[in-house]
Amino acid sequence: MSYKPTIVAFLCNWCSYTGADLAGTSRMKYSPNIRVIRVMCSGRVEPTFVLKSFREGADAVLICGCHPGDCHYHEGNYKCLRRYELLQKYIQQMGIEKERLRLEWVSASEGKIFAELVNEMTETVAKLGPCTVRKVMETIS
Amino acid sequence: MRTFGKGCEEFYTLSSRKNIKFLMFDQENELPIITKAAADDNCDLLIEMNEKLSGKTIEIPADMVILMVGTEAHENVKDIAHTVGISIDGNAFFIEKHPKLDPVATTTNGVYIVGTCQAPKDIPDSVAQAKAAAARILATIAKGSVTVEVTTAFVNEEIFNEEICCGCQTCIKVCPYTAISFDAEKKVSVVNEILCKGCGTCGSGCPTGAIKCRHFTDTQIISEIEGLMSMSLLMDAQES
Repeated sequence: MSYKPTIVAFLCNWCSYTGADLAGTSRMKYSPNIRVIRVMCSGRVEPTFVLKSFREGADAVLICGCHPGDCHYHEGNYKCLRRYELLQKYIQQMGIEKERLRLEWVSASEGKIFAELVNEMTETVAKLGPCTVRKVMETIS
Repeated sequence: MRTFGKGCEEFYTLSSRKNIKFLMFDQENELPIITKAAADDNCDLLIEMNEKLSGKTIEIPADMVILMVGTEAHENVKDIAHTVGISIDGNAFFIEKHPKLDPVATTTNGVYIVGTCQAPKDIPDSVAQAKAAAARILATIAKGSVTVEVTTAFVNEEIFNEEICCGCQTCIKVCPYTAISFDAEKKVSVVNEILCKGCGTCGSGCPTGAIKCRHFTDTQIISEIEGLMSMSLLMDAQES
């Protein structure tokens, strides 16, 4: 059986979630490895949520927000970007490859881009193999 | 050259017939040169310019020259936008909540935009927009009550809960709507739920978890992660 990665995605309600919805309503086919969690704004995505996802066995985490300047809440996506940069450094120190965490801007009209993004990310993560954090954590505790 | 608005095209045609010439020049290229005409030229001034529409260099006589400049936003616009929590576009003009459905309101409740702060406008347009804003405000007042967002944030003040506000004021700094203030007596942050739009950025910034976002609490999202991941693991186990 080929390895199927699990990707946890945090999508902002106004742009990316609607974009993902558009991909669905336009009947685009994309890889089913993604698990979507809706948040009101990418600024709501706490570093804890990302770490918790890895801890629970996610192979990758995707955060999607509105394009810069388009945030429904003015600047939530910029705050997300700042937290993301720090988080990238942090997860690498924990032994998680940087490709496993991605922040992308997806607008409400970019259903196709979203579908392509999910496919591309699934492929990248499949090449990396399963994320070992969960097993390591279980061994420690 | 085209004009906008009712009757403006007719006014433009009329002016053109009365020997008024509207000329466009490129700001980047060479600027028009205006010189005093010689005594035998039968006019006061001479204009030599590279006319933008025809692309030709022309020289025409004139009795009067009026320089029309484009409208620019005020230099302090960014400070104003930041203070009241509204957005500006690429040309530093304020952005309305919705160009068609809510053209005078902004993303901050109680803040309305009228006139040339939104875009270059003439007087009738500004007056029409001002009336629209007044009507929009009256409609809000006449309703007698304000509907707040469902997903507002609130600060947990209950003493038995360990996640209590430590008064670090991080939430105040991150809030884009200035909806959070500091209660100096109790030493805790207080959310104004009328101003709060529920973006949840305060919830992400809070180090103790005292500030909670309704319907998107930490507990709820973490439960979602746990649920989704245990489902995935279960499915994997079934397949193998």
